[in-house]
Amino acid sequence: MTEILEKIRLTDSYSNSYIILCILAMAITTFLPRYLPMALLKKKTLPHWFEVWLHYVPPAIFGALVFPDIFLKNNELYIALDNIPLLTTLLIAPIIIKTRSLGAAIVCGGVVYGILQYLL
Amino acid sequence: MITITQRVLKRVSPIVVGYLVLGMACGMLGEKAGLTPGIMLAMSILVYGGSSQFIGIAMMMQGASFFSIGLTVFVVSLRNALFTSALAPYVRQYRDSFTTLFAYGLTDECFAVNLASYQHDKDWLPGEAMAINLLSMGTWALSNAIGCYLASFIHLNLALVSYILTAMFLGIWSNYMSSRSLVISGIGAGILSVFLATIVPYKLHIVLATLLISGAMAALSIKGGRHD
Repeated sequence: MTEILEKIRLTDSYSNSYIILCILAMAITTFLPRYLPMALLKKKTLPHWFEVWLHYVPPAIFGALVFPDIFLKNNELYIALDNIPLLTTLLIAPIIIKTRSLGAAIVCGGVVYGILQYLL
Repeated sequence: MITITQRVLKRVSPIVVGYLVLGMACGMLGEKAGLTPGIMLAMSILVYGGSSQFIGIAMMMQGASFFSIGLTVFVVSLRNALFTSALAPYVRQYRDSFTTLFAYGLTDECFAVNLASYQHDKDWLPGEAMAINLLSMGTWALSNAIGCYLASFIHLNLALVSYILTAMFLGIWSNYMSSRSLVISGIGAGILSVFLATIVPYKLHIVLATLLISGAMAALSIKGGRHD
């Protein structure tokens, strides 16, 4: 075991320990939000303010993730006709809002983005 | 602990198909971030959160610190607290070891299937609920490893893959647009996130924008005395 670790350390020390740290950080932070409510709520209920706050978190996180993806390029505001992510999003938004389907979003997004990439 | 019945297979099949495609895409992205199929498999089991894994990998490619990756993934995973809170009443009588594993394997899709099953079938078994989660997890982990393995043989259009990730977020987001205040919360956080991205270091703009806007919306809602 130590031999293997040593070999890993010698070949690619920075990126391997980095990868392991990142994965551990993600493992803990994905587990806790799922586990804690279920463990605590087996006995009692959530405080009201917490429940109200949780209600607003999901749309906020997805808005916060999507907007920089489509409006920024190299960390600068990029609103132009050749901004393919922005154009694709505007084109597929009506379909996504109508179907509310993850599958439709991915397929339409992929196809439209591919076509625009080919055309522009 | 696991009961595989016909209705389990019927209800889990759409999830399996979706996870196969999405998992392969995630594995391919992982390969670009320098991960091997083995690490990808381990990560998918340890982390097991579709969007959090995608985000984590995307941030790793940009060399973000593990602290800010952990924090972002935490906020992304917070919505799972909603899911396990909603299912808690149904699993009250089960053992703690069962609920721990059950909570661990609960995703957006498995939550939707299990909640509907608990509501419609009075005889929905704990083993069946667990089977939905574990079959989905197995599919996800394997397709991640396969995607990672295949990515070394095929040329990947990285811009397209990263847009598919954006499209995935759009798809999940659309399910949270059921009222005006929820739409405002999303768009408000989006605008703030764009603004903060240019001035805040370590990719913390996502977390900050989310917490500030959702907190403000919750405060307004509690003060105004109305909830939707």
